Amino acid sequence: MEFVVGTAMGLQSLIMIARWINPDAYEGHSGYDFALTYEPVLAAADGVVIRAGWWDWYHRSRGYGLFIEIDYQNGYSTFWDEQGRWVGPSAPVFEASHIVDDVPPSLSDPFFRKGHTLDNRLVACPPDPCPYWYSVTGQGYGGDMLWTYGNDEVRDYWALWIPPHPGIYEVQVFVPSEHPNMRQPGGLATGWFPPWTTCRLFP
Amino acid sequence: MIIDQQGVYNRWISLGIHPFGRYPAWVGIWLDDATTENPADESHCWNSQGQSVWCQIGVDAVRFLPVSPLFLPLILRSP
Repeated sequence: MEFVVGTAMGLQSLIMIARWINPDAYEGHSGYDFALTYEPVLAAADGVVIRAGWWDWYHRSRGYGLFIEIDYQNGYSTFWDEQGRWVGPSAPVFEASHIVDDVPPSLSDPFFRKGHTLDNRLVACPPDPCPYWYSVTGQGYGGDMLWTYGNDEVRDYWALWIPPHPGIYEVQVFVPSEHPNMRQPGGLATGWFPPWTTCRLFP
Repeated sequence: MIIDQQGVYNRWISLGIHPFGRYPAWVGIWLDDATTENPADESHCWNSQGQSVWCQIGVDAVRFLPVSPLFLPLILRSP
C-alpha cells in the first residue's frame, strides 16, 4: 500500500513538474478521434444543443474550430469539435471528446501552495464585445460587478476569461454578496439574482 | 463542471486547478449560467418587491492563482 501511494505521489509530482516547465505540452485527451470527410455525424442520443459556434470567431482554424455540445439531460453531454477545420490527409475532420459527467458542486479548496494573484481578464463574449453582459458599479468584487440574464438552456450568454500567461492555475470566481443565496418562506428570493445561479467551467 | 452558488455569497469559490496553455491546450475558462429556466416562465426569480422578473446572473470576477509544482497531493488529505 505504501508503495502504491508513494508511486502515485511521485507520478503526480512528475506530471505537475512537466506541466510547470512546459504548459503547452500536449497531454492527450480522453476523447476519440475520427478521420471522417464530409460524412454525417449522428448524436449519441436524443438531446438538446446547448452550445454551438466557432471557438474563435476571428480565427476559425484555431482551437476547437466549429463545435457543438449536446446535453442528453441525463448527466452526460458530448462535445464535438474541429468540425470546421481545414482537412488534410492526416488531419481529422472533427474529434469527439469531453464526455462530461456533471459532478456535484464542491467548495472545498485543495491543499497546495498559492502564488500571487494575477489579474483577471475578461476577454470576449459572443458576439464581441459582450453585449449581454452589463456592468453595475458599487457591487461585487471591486465594485464593478458584471451580470447577465439567465437564458433557458441555451448557454449563449457566456464570457471567456484567460490567464495572463500559460501555466497551471487555480481558478476562482467571486460570488457577490448581492446574490440572494436563499429563499424566503413562500419561495421568494431576497433580491435581484436567482437562487440557483450557477456557472460552468469549460471545456 | 457546474458550480451551484446557492448559499454562497461574498466570497471566492474554487473551480479547481487546471493547466492553461496555447493551442491545443486550454486557452481560458468559459462561464455562463446553468439555471435551465424557461424564458417564457419568469417564476424562478423575484425582485425585492416580490414581482416576477427575469433571472439574472451575477458572475462577477475571475482570478487565476498560479500553482507551484511543489505541492502536496490531494491524496494526503484522505482519511
